[in-house]
Amino acid sequence: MRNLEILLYGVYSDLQTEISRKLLGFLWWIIEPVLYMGTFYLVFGLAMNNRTPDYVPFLLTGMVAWKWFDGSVRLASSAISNNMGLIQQIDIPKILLILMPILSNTFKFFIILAILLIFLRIRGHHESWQLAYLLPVMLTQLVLIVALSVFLGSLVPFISDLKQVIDNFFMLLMFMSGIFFTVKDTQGFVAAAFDYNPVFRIISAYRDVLLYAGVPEWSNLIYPLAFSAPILLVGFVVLNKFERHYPKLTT
Amino acid sequence: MIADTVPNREVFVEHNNTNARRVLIRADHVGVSYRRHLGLLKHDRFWALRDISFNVGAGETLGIIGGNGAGKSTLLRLIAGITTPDRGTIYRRPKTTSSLLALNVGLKPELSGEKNAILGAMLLGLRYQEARRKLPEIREFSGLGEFFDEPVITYSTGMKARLGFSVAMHADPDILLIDEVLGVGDQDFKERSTEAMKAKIRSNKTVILVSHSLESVSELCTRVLWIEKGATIFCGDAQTALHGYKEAIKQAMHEARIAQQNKSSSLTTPA
Repeated sequence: MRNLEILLYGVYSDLQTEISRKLLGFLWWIIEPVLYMGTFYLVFGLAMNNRTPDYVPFLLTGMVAWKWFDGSVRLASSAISNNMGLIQQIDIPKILLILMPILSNTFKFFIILAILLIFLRIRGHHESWQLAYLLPVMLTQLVLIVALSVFLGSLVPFISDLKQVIDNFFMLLMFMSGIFFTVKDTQGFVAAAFDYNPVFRIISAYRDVLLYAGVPEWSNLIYPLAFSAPILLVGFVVLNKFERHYPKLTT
Repeated sequence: MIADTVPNREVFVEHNNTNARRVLIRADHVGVSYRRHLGLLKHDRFWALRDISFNVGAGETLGIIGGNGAGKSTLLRLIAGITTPDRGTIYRRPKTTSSLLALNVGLKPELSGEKNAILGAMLLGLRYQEARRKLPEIREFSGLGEFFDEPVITYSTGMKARLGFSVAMHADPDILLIDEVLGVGDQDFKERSTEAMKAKIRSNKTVILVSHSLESVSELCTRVLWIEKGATIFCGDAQTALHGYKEAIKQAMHEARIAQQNKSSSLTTPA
C-alpha cells in the first residue's frame, strides 16, 4: 500500500514539476505530440504524396499508440541508471522507479488519445459503443510496455551501452510497426517480419477498433500477451535478484 | 595509512552482553566490493569493505570513525539495507526501519523541497497522510523558509543537509543513520540539530553517527566503531576507541615526519 502511495506521489510530483517548469505548462503535453505527428504527416502524407484513402486517420492512430510505447519503454529502461543518486541513499523498490515514467507517460497518452478520438469522431470513424473495445487493446499494450521496460530496465544498469542499442533498435522498430504504410506496401520477408512484431499487432488492433470493423482481431492481442509473459518473468527475476546490487554499480 | 601504523592489528569487537538480547544489527566479517570497468569486458573488484565486524543494540548511540576512504559511507549503506554484503553476514532485526541521512544530495533535485520532504518521509516508512501532517514541522525545523518551495537543485550544500536532516528526524525510523551532518549549516542550525539528536539519544533511539568531529563523537556516543581501509580496528567503549584513534594519528604523523627527515637528510648528504 505504501509503495502504491510512493508510486502515485512520484508520478504526481513529476507531472506537476513538468508543468511548472515551462512557460506554456501543460499545453506542451498537447503541442509536443501535435508537432511530432505533424512532422510525420508532412513527410509521409504530403511530401510523399500518399494517395491511400483515409491516410491521415491511419497514420495518426498508429503514431499515438507508438508514442505511448516508445516514450514509456525508453524512459523506463534507463530509470534505474538515471536515479543512481536516489537509490544510493534510500532503499526504494526498483520496480517503482521503472513504473513511474510509465505511469506519467500513460497519463500524457490519455490526453493525446482524447484528442485523437475527437478528431476521428468528427470524421465519423467510430461509434461511441466501439470505444469499449479500446480497453482490452490498451491493457494489452500496457502489459507489453511494462514487460519490455522491466526487462530492459533490469539490464541497462549493468550495460550502459545498451541504451544506445535500444535507441537505434527502436528507430528500426518504429518503421517495422506499420505506422506509415500498410503491409500491402511491403514485400517478401519484410512483410512476414511485421507479423512477429507485437507493436505492429497492437497498432493493427487499434485500427480495427477505431477505423474499421469495430472489433479487434483477437489474435492481435493474444500474440503480444504471449510475447510479453516470458520477458516480464525474466525481467522480474533479474530485478529481484539484483535489487540491492544496483546501488553498488557505478556509471 | 593509519591502519598500517596501528601496533596491534588484532580486531577487537567488544560484545555488549547486557544488550545481547536486543541486538538490532550484527555484522560478522562483512565485505562489500564494487566492480570497476577497465575496458570492454574487462573489470576488477575493488573491496571497499574487507572485514567489518560490529554490533549495535537497541537504544545505543554508535559512532563510526576512520580516515578518508576507510569505507564509512559504504558501511552506512549496508546498515541502511540499501546494499547487501558480498561476503560475511549481516543480521538486522526483522522489521527494523532505518534511514541513511547522507549529505549533499536531494532525492529528486528538480522537485521542490516540500515534495522531496514528502517523498523522502514516505520512503523512510511514513504513509502519505502522516508525511503531510509532519510537513509543517519539517519546514519549521529545516529553517529553509521560502526556499522550501523551490527546487532542491537551487539549494546550497548546507540547505540540502538541513532538509535531509529534518526529514529523517521527523520520519522517526528505528535506526537513525547520520553521515557528517553535525557541523553543517550555520551556528543556529548546528545547535538545533545537535540538540535534536541528543533528544533522540535520550529517548532511547538507536543512532549511528559517522563524523570526523571527534568532539561530537566523544560527546554523543557510548560506543565507537573504528575502521580503517575497510576493516574493523576496534569496536567498543567510546573513550578507548577515541584514545587509540588519536594515538594512531599521532604515530602516523610522527612516522611521516621521520620519513620526511630521512628523505631530506639523504638529499643533503650525497653518497
